Amino acid sequence: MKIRISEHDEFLLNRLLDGDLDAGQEAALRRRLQGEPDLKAAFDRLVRLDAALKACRVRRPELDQAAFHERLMQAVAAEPVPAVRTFRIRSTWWALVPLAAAAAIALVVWTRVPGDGDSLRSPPLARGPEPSAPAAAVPAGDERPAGMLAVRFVRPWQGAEAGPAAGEIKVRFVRSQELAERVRARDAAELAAPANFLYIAGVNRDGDLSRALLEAAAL
Amino acid sequence: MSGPDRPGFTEGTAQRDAAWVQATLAGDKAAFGKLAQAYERQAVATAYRLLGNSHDAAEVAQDAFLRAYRSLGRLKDPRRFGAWLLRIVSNLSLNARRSRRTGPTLTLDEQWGTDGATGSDGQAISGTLGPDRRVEGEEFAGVIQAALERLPDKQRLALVLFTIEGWPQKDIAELLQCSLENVKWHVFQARRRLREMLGDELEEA
Repeated sequence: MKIRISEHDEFLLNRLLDGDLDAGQEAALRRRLQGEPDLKAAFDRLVRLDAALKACRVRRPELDQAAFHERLMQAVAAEPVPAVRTFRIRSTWWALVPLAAAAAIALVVWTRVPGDGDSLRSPPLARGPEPSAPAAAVPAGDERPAGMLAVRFVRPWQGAEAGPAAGEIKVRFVRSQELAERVRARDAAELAAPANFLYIAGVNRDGDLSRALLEAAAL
Repeated sequence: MSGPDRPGFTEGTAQRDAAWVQATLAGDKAAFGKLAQAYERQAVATAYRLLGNSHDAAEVAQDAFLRAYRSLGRLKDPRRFGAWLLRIVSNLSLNARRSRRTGPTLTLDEQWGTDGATGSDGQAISGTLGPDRRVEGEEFAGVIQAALERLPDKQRLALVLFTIEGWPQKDIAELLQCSLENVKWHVFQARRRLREMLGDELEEA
């Protein structure tokens, strides 16, 4: 028997069978089933297929669960305790820092509205880690740049004195507890208003994924 | 989910499984034994639906449990042990099916005794049963199984787990790592293909 219904109707019938239609959709489709012989025949055939499949449930696998379990536990007994995986970037990945840096995203913390005090500062878009938190695990005193990063920035408030609304700065990786202050001071000195903090997630020289403080090298 | 062979990834089982996983990672192999007991039947049943025979299903399930044990430390969410294990079972079953395809397989034509006959146009018979070849009961279940074997992997998995094993679609989505809508679509397409394969066999007697 050739039954012709659209794919959409066929899908609707499947949803009806699976109880996926809401009450209104189901009522409408059942009304159509009353008046459309092909639709009705298609649904009957679908129900028969479903019943035939469900009848397969009675064919259960033959399983001696006790023997299965015993065999499994014997195999497990011969295995070492599974190792817990720890996430650590291999030190060789350090060479990939420039690539990682290129993909990193700078977070603009806040911008001060010119001419007003702290009470009128615009709300933070996102907050980076506090400057006082531990910096990347580079030995103290070692200020060698670890890599150059290109960091994009945006300013949430745009005014005549605010400087460019978006741009890119070059930064270099260093360990510096004072970095945030340096960035703020540099910004304040060079531009009248904005005091944008840029933080970036980075990879330190030991290979740990960690936040790293950045020093603006050029604007 | 009510049947013993069907997954029931409830909050209670999730917490229980997480505790057993942690204990196993701490060196308590008996805890893994408890995990195994909780999922042995589901694992074998799932493999059986995908492979079609008990022996292969038990072998695949054993292998899956061992792999799960060895990789337990990499399980991101111990609460999802059940879904993770059954995903391993499903993947191993699919691999076993693929490797089995290189050897002799039971085709629809063999089931129905057409012995690779061709139609009047010289083309191989597509596998549509004629009304005179109607089979009953267990034999018909064998026909269904053979037809299922011919479905694409995801369609077969979705249909078997949803319709025969009675899994919730959201659990199948997690297993197949796809959306709920994709699961519905796979089930729909699988039914369509089965209907085409079974042809008149599905018509009312």
